[in-house]
Amino acid sequence: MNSSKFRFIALSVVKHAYVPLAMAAHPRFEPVVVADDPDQPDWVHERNELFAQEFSIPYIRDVERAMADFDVQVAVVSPEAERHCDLSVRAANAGLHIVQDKPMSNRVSECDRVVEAVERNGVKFLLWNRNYLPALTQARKAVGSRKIGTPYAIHVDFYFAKDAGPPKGSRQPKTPPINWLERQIEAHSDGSDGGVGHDPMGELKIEGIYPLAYIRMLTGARVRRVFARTTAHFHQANVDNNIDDLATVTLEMDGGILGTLCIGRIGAASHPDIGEIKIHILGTDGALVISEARPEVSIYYRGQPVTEYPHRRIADDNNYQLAQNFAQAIDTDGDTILNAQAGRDICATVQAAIDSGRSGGPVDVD
Amino acid sequence: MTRLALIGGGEHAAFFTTVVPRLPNLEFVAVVNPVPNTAKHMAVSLDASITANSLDGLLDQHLDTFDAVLILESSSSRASLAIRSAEAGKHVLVASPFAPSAKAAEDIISACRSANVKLMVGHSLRFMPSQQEVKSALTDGKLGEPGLLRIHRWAESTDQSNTDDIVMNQTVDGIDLAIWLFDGMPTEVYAISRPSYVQVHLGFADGGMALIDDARTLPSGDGYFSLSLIGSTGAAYADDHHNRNLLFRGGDPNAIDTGQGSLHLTAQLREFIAAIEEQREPVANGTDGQVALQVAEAAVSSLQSRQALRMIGGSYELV
Repeated sequence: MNSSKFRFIALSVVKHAYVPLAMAAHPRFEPVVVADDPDQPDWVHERNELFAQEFSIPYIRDVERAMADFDVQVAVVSPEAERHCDLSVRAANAGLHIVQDKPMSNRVSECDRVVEAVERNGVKFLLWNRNYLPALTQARKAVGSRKIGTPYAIHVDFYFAKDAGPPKGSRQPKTPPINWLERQIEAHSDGSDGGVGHDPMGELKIEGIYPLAYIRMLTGARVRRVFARTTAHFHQANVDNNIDDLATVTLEMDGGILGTLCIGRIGAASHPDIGEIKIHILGTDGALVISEARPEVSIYYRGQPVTEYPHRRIADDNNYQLAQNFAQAIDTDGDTILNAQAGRDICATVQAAIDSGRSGGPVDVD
Repeated sequence: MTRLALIGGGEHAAFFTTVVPRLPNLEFVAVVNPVPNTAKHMAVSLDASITANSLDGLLDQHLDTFDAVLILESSSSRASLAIRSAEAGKHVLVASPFAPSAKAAEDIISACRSANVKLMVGHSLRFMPSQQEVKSALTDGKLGEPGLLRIHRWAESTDQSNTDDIVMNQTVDGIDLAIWLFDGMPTEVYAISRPSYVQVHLGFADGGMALIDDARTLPSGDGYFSLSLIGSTGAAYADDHHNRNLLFRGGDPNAIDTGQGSLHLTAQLREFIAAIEEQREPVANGTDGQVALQVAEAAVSSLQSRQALRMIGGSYELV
């Protein structure tokens, strides 16, 4: 078994740092430097500095110089969503393999740049995802064993039962709309800043990657056409920024496979845990119903804080398996579980869904 | 006491034997079935004294012996039976779909209105204990404004693979459920399908949305129903997945549906009787049934055109 280490550069760490932390926790990856562009605002530099301090590594305000000077093989990219692809392209051009935080981008054209740069430079790319959660591994095995025959329809519910600032309808007259970036910076403290960036992003853009990656993995099919409904149903920040926090999407895929996606940030009161996340698959010989949260352990006690989830996921090996998958892809010149092309296709599906929600008609996926 | 005649529904009669003792103000007095032995057998099980081989025969010979009809005949004959019953002055509870089209439903509604009798459509999904709980939570304001409804309704494979027929005969009940929970008609309708399988996507006012998928492809004996409703202040999950127990016999365990019994039939009949006695409109009246059919027809149009339809001026038009 290959045990050689990959030295990685963290290119911006502005969100809750689950990706660089997960990579650093894997025995084959070692953080050696944090870097970002010098013209970034102070709050970005501060967060980068914090991560560097945590690992006692330097923070360099010059991306190209850091990539050249620190003998790194891998870039872990986790800035604001609108900077994801640009940093990934620069890393690819420097010959680095890339692990990139989700969403891939808020623009399909940016994803296209990554696909081209990764291909041209012959580097590996992994878009962060949840495809190695135990229930997903089980689902993949069940589908692969053809126990339900050939899948012909797949449905994913992906709800995060979390709040996101003031509820819809709470803004007082003469109070200015909520600034998206300020709200996301504020949300950093509780880890709900998945949409951090200047461009407002709804749930489809922030989290749609996860359920759509499930669908991609379990069917192997590309989405070709969508019809969607989108709305801001819960959160004032989403209303003020004209972005969705609740959406339904009808999917038409290669091979005649049909599907749907329900997604939303539905408020903390709507579920005792992180949210109902389920996968329903219909096959020619049967069907499969999967709870993504399994296995879990239930713990209840007197005085339990309302913020504590009573049902706790266990045996979650997703982070390790993703890093392992990435290492193996490099070792064997194989593919990752969610490569640049698949990530780009998911981004295009999300954009088509948003366009459909606005137009009221079905939209072909580019 | 409401005296009821059961029209058709041979194999389903057994369900009603458990209902009769629970409703002291209901009495099955007659059974109509073209097969005399079947009619006799059903009459015995329901403690009914009269049998007939047709509705006309029953009306000719026993007109004054019953007050209302429960029509469970095949869908193709329900409309004519309902109209004939109404014209004879009988209140009508008719299985869904109660008419082959929204236009045909109008004739039944008119007949019942002219005869001043009650018309209730058997959208039985509304009366399932789980759905009653969901509706109660919604009506009580616990869930806030409904935002997203998801329904999976899967049944065993049948010889019915035509998706237009599935929409008009089965999905229409899910559509009715969505309209009932959102308390309004959809503003947008989109549907896609493949043999024996349909997905319907509905949009409602104020951003509401619903997804209904209807499969007729499960192995023999299997079935699955799941409903989740996401509201602005809460959510409800009525899911067969949560209501299954495990049976171990080697190999993969079997999941056994706990089931909700036949309480929905009792609730449905109780509502019908109450509407008659209180001289009010029943829940799931003719207009409700007609609206569900109108939306189902829009879904069929969407299947055929591959386009979405939008409600404009009271009718659905291609976007």
